[in-house]
Amino acid sequence: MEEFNGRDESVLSRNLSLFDNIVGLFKDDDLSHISDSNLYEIKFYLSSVKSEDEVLMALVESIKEKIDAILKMNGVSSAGKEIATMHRLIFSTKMYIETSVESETKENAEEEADYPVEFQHTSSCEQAGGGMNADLSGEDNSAIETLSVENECEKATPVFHPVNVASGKNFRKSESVTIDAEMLNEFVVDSVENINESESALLILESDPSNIKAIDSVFRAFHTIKGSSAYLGFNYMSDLAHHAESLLAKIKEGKIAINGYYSDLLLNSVDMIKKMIENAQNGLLSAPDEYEEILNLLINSCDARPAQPLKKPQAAPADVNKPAAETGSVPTFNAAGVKQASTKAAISVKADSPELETIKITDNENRHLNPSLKSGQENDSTIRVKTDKVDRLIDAVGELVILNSMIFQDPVLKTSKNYELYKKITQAVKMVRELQDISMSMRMIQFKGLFQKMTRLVRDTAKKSNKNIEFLTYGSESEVDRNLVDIIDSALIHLLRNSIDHGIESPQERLQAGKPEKGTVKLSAFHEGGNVVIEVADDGAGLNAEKILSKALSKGIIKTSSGLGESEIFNLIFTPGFSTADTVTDISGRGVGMDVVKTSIEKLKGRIEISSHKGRGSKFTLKMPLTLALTDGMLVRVGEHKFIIPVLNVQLTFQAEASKISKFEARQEMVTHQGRTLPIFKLGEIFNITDAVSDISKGMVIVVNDGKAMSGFLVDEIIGQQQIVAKSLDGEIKNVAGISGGTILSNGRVGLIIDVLEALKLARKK
Amino acid sequence: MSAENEMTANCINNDEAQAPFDGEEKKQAETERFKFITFLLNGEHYAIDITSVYEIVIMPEITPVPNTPFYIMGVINLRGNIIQIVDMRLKLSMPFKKYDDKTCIVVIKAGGSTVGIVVDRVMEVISESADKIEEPPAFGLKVDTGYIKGIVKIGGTIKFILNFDAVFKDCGSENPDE
Repeated sequence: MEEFNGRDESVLSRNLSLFDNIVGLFKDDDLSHISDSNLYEIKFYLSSVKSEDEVLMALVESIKEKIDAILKMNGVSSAGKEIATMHRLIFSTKMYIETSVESETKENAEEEADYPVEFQHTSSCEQAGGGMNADLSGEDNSAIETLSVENECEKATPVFHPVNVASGKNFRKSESVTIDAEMLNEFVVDSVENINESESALLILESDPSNIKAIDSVFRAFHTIKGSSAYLGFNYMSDLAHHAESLLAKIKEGKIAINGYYSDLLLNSVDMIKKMIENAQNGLLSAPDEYEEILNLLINSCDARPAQPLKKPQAAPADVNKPAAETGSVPTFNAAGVKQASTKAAISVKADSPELETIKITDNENRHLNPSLKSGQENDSTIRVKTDKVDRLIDAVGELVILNSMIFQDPVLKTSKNYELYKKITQAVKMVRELQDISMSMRMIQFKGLFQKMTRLVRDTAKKSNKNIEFLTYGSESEVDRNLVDIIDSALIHLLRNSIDHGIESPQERLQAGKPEKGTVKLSAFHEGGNVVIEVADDGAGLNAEKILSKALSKGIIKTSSGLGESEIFNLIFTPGFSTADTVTDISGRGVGMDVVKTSIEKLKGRIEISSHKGRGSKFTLKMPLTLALTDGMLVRVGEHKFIIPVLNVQLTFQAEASKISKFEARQEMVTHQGRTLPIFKLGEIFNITDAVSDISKGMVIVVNDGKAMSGFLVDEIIGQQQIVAKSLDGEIKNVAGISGGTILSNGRVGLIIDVLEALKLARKK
Repeated sequence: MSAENEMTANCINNDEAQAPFDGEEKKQAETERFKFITFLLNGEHYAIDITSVYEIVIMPEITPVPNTPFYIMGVINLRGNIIQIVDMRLKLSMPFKKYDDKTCIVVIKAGGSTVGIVVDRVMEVISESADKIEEPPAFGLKVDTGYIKGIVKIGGTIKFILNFDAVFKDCGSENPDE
């Protein structure tokens, strides 16, 4: 199709829109209402058609001639047949342009023979249709009238057959889709959303098998994944989704009653799809290891056991054990255990006997699993934005806030008598503050998603470790910075696993200890003074201080047990490699868990506290700032320099009296404050600032805690506290010891943020 | 229709007419022109490829960063971005000169990060074809020859094209001087 090369696509689309206009005149293919003025309009449109394509121009010319002929026939009414011919000509021409547009876009010359409009040329116009398929013998065109247009003036006039008109639009749909990164990304995001939705719906279904909405939701999710994965060529994924869908269809029709076995199977399928999505993201198209197994189970569930009657939830006694089917170990779901009036979200897993299992999720506070399953159809429309875009927006707004306050505090403005200007700037300040609130809220998400994930985790862990757990969640509506959620995620996993595996005793032990058979694990989140607090509490055995001590001694983590307070002993469990579990299970016991918790919380500039009572359970409290974007900083002056010390690190500040200062080994200066003797490190010395004060009594002492001991930093002056947007330093100054980053101060200059732990290390070296 | 034929013919002619033009363009690609920003350092002229220059700023207030090499003057706030500032005289082992109203910071992309370099004065933008750019002499230069990409002679003055990626390459591993 050489003659198509070099054709401008915009010309094609312009021509196409012209023909769209023309076709628009023929409403519903009804030709009777066509008037003379319509014909002139068509002629006008046709005169605007410009192309280098001779075939197209020839078609246009023949339409023009037809119109002229009709107009000569004394009124449109008598020219019905001619108009029909013209109509068909127009339609075919439009088709021709459409296919040209398609061929242009796809640049696929080999398929030209598939054009729906076949051209046969008279000998005089061969040059026009050189690239066309002139062979009509194979065409199934018997039903279509062959039109011939008289060749009057030696022009290239094709004879054509409008065939395949109905299917013309999609006959060229290519079979294989090349996946570009964006498509894949879109697919991944969509699928993850779908899969999460189906997971939560499945958990609801476990407690309430008659919940049609939940079944529909799972069904929909699998269906969507099936469609999109098939489209992208992820056949394994679409197969699995297909069979899961079939199983769900059976459940929906009531042919299969959902029970522990099926919900496990479906949840496993969900996991499998998750894994495959992850693989797809990394460019792996092969099926994961257990794929075949799950697929076969799904197929068997659909085919081999089609007619299990739906077991209606009844108010009958709890723990009704439906005989397991031929597999022998299919646990049964018992809906009678659902406490509708419970005000908490609870999963109770009873797994002391393998055949018997009750699971319940009740959450009247808010069915936090999936809002769309609630009665209200609150359909908030959303758009997806890349997080780094939001981050950039928040950064920019943060700068705007600082810039704004710089303008506001400008001495020129303060002394100015121009009240109009003052008013305007005040307004701008307000607006910017509002803008800041809005931009911050864009990154905030509720704990819902995280809690939902944890619910699943608790369910699986409890099953694995044969514990009977009631899982309660509070405050899933609390909002938190999205970036934060990603980091706490792993910490929570470890804490919950620990609580279930080590904290909660086995049902027998619990009964012996006079506790309820069912252990309670509570996960709560709330805001407290600019911080977000997450608590993981259990009513299990509690931490065993003696066991921790002896383990720590035997592992050489500590040398002596004397002088250690309870909280210090508990803190030992955060040491890497520490584990009190006597056996290593696949849930926990390897001693990495608590280390992970500590590092991830430290990453968030947060703290972790443990409180525990032997025999009554333990509570882990995580406290971290609401957002990573803003931190509270204490602005201090050292000589001519200004630094920021994160408020989170600061225990207290005071001015030392000269009488309380002493020297240790004639070198290290110490200050006694409120009965404690603290070593004092001078920031001026750490950072080689010559004009800083060196007399401790003349400066201010900032007491910091590095987790082991308290120490004091000496600064010249504490200027105040302010919120800062922390930024990392780049290039050669990326890893300056003692400096963690920088921020823009309200005077527009850069302030350096002190990394307290590093600065202390630096000070001890000197 | 005859008009249409003419149009097609015209197009073909145009294509033919364009052919030599294409050839010229190819020829031009061989002698690609480079644009440089030139600046003064200790009386010598230096040049940097304009594509690696973000902007030129007049001296703002610099916040010194402690415990860094002597040639790092500190950091500045460039519309919310923190940019490290390197005194080029010190970096290239030239004597320090007090900053005046001609002193400028050229913000450039070098060694994978953004750096502001302090120069005595920014001169002009020059455009030079690739064949006018000569290899640097192997010796006789005051500056480490590894830092020089090439030289351009314009009206009797020699301008050294600096290779900033080389200048800032191994900075990260250097120990602080203090």
